[in-house]
Amino acid sequence: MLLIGTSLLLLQAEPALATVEKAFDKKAVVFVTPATKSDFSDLVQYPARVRSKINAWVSAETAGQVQKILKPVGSQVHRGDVVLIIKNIDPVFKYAPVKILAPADGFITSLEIDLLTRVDRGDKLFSVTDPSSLVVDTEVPASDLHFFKIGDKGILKSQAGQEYHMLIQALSPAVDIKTGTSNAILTFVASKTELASLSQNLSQGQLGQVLFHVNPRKSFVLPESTLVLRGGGTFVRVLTGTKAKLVPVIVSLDLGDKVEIQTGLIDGQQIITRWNRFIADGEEVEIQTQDKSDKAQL
Amino acid sequence: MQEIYRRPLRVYVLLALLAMAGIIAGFNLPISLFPNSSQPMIGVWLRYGDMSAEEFRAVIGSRVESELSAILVDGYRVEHTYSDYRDSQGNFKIQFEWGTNGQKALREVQSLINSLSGTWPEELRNSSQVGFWNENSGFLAVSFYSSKRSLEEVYDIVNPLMKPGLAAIADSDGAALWNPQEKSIEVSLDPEKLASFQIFPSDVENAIVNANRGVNGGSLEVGEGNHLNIFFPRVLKGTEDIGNIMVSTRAGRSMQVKDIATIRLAVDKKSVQSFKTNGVSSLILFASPRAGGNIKRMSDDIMAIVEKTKPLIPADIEYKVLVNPSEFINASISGVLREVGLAALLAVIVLFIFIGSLKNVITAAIEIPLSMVLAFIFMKLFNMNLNLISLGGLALSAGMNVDASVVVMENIFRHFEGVTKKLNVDERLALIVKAVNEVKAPIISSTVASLVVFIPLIATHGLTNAILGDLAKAVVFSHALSAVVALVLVPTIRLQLLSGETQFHPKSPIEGTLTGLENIYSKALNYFLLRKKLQILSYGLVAALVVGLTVLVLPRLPKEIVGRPETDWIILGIQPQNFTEPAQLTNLVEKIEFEVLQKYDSDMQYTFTQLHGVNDAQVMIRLKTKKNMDRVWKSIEADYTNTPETNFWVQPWNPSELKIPNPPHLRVEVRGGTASDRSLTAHDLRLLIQEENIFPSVSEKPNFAGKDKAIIVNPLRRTLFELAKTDTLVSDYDLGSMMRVATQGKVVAEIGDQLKTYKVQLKYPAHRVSSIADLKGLPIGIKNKVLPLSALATVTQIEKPAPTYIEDQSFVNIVEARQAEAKKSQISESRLLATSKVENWKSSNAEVLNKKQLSIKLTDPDVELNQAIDQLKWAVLLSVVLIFLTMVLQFGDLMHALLVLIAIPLGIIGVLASLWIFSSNLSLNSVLGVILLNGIAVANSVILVDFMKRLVDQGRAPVEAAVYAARVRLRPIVMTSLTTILGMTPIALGMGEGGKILQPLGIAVAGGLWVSMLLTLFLVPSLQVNYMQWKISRGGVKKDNEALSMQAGTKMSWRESSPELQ
Repeated sequence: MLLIGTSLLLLQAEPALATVEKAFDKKAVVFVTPATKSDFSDLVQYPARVRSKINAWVSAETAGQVQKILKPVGSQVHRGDVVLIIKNIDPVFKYAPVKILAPADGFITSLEIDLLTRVDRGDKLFSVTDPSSLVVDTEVPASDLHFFKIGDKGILKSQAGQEYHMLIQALSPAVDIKTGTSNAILTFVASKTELASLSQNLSQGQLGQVLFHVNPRKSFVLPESTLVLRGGGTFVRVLTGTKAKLVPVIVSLDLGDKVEIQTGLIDGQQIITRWNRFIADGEEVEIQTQDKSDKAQL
Repeated sequence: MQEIYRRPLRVYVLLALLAMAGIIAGFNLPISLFPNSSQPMIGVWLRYGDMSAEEFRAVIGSRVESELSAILVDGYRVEHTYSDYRDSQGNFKIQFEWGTNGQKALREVQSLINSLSGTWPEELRNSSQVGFWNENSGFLAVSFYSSKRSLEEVYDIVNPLMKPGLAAIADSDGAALWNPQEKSIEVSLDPEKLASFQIFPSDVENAIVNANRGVNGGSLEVGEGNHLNIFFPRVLKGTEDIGNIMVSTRAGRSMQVKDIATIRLAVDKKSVQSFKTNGVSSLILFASPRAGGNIKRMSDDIMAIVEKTKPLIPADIEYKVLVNPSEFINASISGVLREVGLAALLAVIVLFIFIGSLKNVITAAIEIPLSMVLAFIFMKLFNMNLNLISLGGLALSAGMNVDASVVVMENIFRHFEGVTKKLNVDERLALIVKAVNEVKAPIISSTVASLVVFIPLIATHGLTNAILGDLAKAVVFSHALSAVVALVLVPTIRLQLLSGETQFHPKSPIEGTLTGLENIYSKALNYFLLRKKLQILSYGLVAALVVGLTVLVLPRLPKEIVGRPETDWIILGIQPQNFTEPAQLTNLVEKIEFEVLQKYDSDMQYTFTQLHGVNDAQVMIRLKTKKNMDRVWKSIEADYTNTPETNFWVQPWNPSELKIPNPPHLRVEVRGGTASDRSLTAHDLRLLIQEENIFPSVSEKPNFAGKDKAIIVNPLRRTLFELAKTDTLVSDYDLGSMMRVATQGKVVAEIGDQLKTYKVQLKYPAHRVSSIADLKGLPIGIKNKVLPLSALATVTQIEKPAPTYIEDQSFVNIVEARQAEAKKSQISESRLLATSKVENWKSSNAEVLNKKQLSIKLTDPDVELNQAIDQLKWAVLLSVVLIFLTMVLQFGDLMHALLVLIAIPLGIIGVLASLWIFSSNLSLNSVLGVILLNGIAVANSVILVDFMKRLVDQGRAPVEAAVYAARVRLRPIVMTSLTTILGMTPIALGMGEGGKILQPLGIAVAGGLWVSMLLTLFLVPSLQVNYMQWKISRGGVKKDNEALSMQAGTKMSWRESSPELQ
C-alpha cells in the first residue's frame, strides 16, 4: 500500500513540474493604416455677432415736440423719406415743423420716441438699418492676433447650425485694455443671390461662432489610442513585414482623441492603429481588414 | 457523586433546564457566514482646495499619515495605512488589526482629524470626510415591476411606503429604491442668450437657490402670549416654477429663466449608477451592509419591510428577489447543520455496530446533542455567532464527544460483569460510583489532553485567531461539557436502566466479523513482530514517506487562508481604460451582456448588471446549478481576456462579510525616484508581464496615468482687474461654474415636497462643448461686447501629473498579477518565470534605474497567509510539546512518552497524502486539523502503550504482551477512531453549501486519522517491543502488580479474557 501510494503521489507530482504555458496561442489581430501626411491646422473659434453694415442713428437737430410719426418701426424707407415731424417749440422759429428724413435706404429698426414726446437737441430719435447688408463682429484675444491678417478666411456657424464662409475685412490694431481683445469685422463670401437671402436666415444681433483654421501645415495625424508609452518614451507600432515593431515618435499636439506626430514616421509606413491584445515588440501579427472589425475584440 | 446519582429527577430537571437555556441561547445567536471578527478599515477623504497634490502632501498629508499610523484603539494598532493623492483630493485608508472594535476605531480617527483640521484652511476643514471604507461585497437586490404601470408610477407608489422603514435599518449603508427612470429638471441654458443679456450660469444658480429658500419673516405678537410665526414657504415644485424665477443680469435688468433656457423633466442620462436585469433597466431595491453590519440581519429586516408593504400596494405590482444573501447564508448554515447531524448519526451507527443494544447506544449518543446545546450557552456568553467555522467545530466534536460516555459505560459494564445475584439500589449505586471514580481521572485528563492542543491557538493573533478562534472555542466548549455529561448523566441513566436489565454484556450485531478481524490482526501483528528486518524496512519506508511528503508535497500544496463557500453567482468585471461618457460604458456592457446571455443561456437563470460611473461595471450571472461553476468560470475567463483598452476579471461571488485577504500571485514594488519615474517603470513592468502572457491579469496601483490629460485654467488677472475698474466683476467662480455647467452640468438645487422631489440641473445643450476649442470659444457678454472665454482665462491642456500612492508612509508603485483559474496549478511556475523576467529587465536597465534612484523588489504577496501559517506551525509544535509533557506526567518515563508521540508523524503522512490525493489546499483549517489530529491520534498510542507496559511489568514477554494488548485494545481503538473519522466524513466530502470551507479540515483529520490508526496498530507495538526487549536485556523492567487500571485515553473492553495467542 505504501509503495502504491508513493507511486501515485509521484505520478501526481509530474504535471505540477511541467513548464508554464507561455505566450499566446494565437497571433494578435491588428488593424493597419498607411501613414500619410495630411493637411492639418489648429482650430480657434470665437463668438460672433451679426449686424447690419448700415445702421444709422438719427438725432434731433433742434428741441421740439414730436408731432407725427409717419414711419413706425419695421417700415421700409428710402433715403430722404420723411420719418417723423417735430414741432419746434422755440417761438423764435415760429413753431415751424421740422421734417426728419431717413438718411439711408433700409428699415426703421427702433424708435426712441413716441407721439408728443419732447426732445432736446441731440436726443436719439430712430435708427435705420439695412438688413440686406450684414457683417459679423468678433473679438479676437490679444494672444491670438498674430494668427490673423486682413483677408483671412473663416466660417460662421449660426445657432441654427448653418455655415457661412467669411473673410476678415477689418482688424483693429488696438487692443481694448478692458477686455484684452481686438475687434475684427468679417464679411460674407457669397454670390449676390446668396447675399440677398442672408437676411432671411440671419438677423441683426444674432450670435454665432466663427471658426478659423490657423497655422496650416502637413502632418501625420493619428488616433490617440495608437500611442504606446513605455520606458519613458512614446512609440507607435509599425508593421514591418508581418511583425509589429515599436518606433519612437515625438508628439507635437495632443487633441485628446487625436495626436499630431512631429517626428518619427515616414510616409507610407503601415501604422498599427488597433490590436486585440498586448503585443511584444517584434511579435508576428495577423492583419485584419476593416469590415471584419466587429469580430475582433477590440 | 452518590448523592447526584441517587436523585435522577434532579439531574434530569437540571440538565433539561440547561438544555432549554442552551436552545434559547442557540436561537438567539446571530447567524452569519463567518466569525464576528473584523479588521476595520477607516477612510479619510480630504480635498486640496487651492493646493496642488504635491503641496497638499507636503503641508498637510504627510502629517495626517504619520498621526493616523500611530492611533491605538484598546491596545490594537494600525496595521497599514494607504494614501492615494489624486487630482483634487487625497484618500487615506487606515487598516486596523483584526479584532479592533470598528466603531471605536472610527471615533478615534474622527477625533484625530478634528484636532488636526483646526489649523487647516476653512475649505479643507469643511470638505473633510471620515467614514468606514466599506469593502463588503455582499448586497441585497429586489426588483419591482408591473405589467400595467410604468416604472415611474411603480416608484411613486412603492417608494413613499418603504422609504421610512429602509432608512431605519441599522445594518444597512443607505438602502434605497433606485429608479432607472428617475427624472430631474433639466434647465438647458442658451449660451448665446446668456451672453447677449450678460448673464452667467452662476447668476441663474443663485437665483434658483434663493428662490428655493423658505424665508423666515419673524413673528408677530398679538395679544398676550400669542406668537404668530411669519414664513415664506418654499414654493418651487416643478418646471413652471423654475421657469418663472427672475434672474438679474449684469446690465441691471431682470428676466425670467424661461427666457434664457429650455426647462423640462428628463431622465438623467449621466447618472453615475444604474442596474439592469437580463439587459433591461429595472426598479431595484438595493441595499449593501455598512462596514461591521450583519448582512443576514439586514437582508431579513429589509425582506420583512417588503412583505409588510406588499398588502398596501396594488396587486399588479410584483417583486422578484434577485440577490438575497440571507438565502445563501441560510443554505450554507443549513448545509453545515446537516453535516453536524450526519456526523452524529454516523457516530451513533458506529457505536451500535460495536456495542449493540439500542438502549446503550442511546445512553451514549445522547451526549452528542446535549453537549452541543450546552455549548450554545457559552457561545452566547462569549459573544460568538453561529457561523460556518463555529458549526464546523461542533461537527468536529460530534465524533469526539461520545468517547467519554463510552468509557464510562464500558467501565460500568465491566464492574457488573462478575455480578450474578440481583442487587438493590444502594448496591447498584455503589458499583456505579466505583466504576465512575475509576475513570473520572482518565476521562478528565484525556479530555484535557485533547483540549490542551488548543492552548497554542490562544497565542495566535490577527487573522489566524479571527478565523480559528471560533472553531477552537466551539470544540473546547462542547468537548469539555461532554466530560461533565458523561460523568453525571450517563451513570444516572445507567442506574435506572440497570434495575430491569439482566444482560450486562450486549453483543455487537457483527460480533463474528469483529472477532475474525481481531484474529487476522493478531496473526499479522505476530508475524510482523517476529521479523526484525521487516520492521526495520517499515521504519525506513515510513521515515522516507514522512520526509518525502514534507519535502515534495507540502511546498506544492496550494495555499489559502480559508476556502470559499460554493456559490451559484459569478461576476464578470469590466473596466475600460479610456471611456469618458457613461453611454460608452452602457453600450459596451450591453454588448457583453448580450453575448453572455446567448452563450450561457442553458447554464444560467438570469443576469444582474451594475454600472458605476464611466469605467466600472459588473455583469453578475446566476447559474442554474453550482456544479457548472468551474466550467463556466474558465470559459468566461477564456472569452474575456484583458486588452490594452479594457480590463476584465472573473470571480465567483458570495455574500461573505469576512474580508479575507486575497493576495495577488505576484507583487512587484517600485520605490524611489519621482512619481513619474515610478509610474513609467511600473507600467513597463506591467507590459513586460502582460506581453509575455505570464499572467493574464495584471494591474498597476495607482493606475497608470501616462496618457491622461487635464485642462488647466488660469484667469487673466490683468484683464479681470481692468474690468473690475469699470464695475464689471467676473470672479473665478463665475468662470469655473460656467465651464462646469457647459461640460458636465451642475445640480444646483433639489425642489419639491415630501412626496416627490426633483434635482435641478443646469446644463448647456448637448455637444455644445466637445473640444478644447469649443471650451475656449464659450461666449461671455461683457458690457456691449461678446467675448470668448479665452479672452478672460488661458485654457491649456497638460499631462496629468503622475498620481502618488503611499503605503505605510513610503512612496511606492505596485504591479500585481493573477493567474487564471484554469491555470491555477501553474501559479508557482508563473511566479518563477515572471521573477526571472523582472530580474533580467532590472539588469538590462540597471544604469537607468541607478541614475533615477529607483529600486524594484518582488515581495511576497502571500505574506499574511504565510504569517498565519507560520503562527500555526508554532502552534503545532507547541501542541506536540504539551502532549509530550502530558504523557511524561502520565507514564513517568521519557521513552514511553516518545513512543506515544510516534502517532503524530504517522498522522502527518495521512494528512499530506490526503490533501494531495484529494487536491485540497493547505489552509488554516487543514493546519488546525493537524493540531486536532495530534491529540486524537496520540490517544490510540496511549491505549496500546499503557496496556502493553502493564503486561510486561506483570511478567509477560514483550511480543506476547504486545499481541495480547493490541488484540484487546483493537476494538476500542477502531471504535473511537471510526466515530471521529466517520464524524468528519461529511465535512471531508465538502457536502452542503459551505462545505468547501471546512473540507481541508475534514480531509486532514479523517485522512490523517485513518493512516495514523492503521500504522499505529503495527508500528507502535513494534517499537514498544523493541524498546522493552532492549530494556529487559539491560535488566531494567519493573514488575507492576497493580490491577490493570484506566489511564488517560485508555478505553477498556469489557472482555477480560482473550483467546489464546496463535
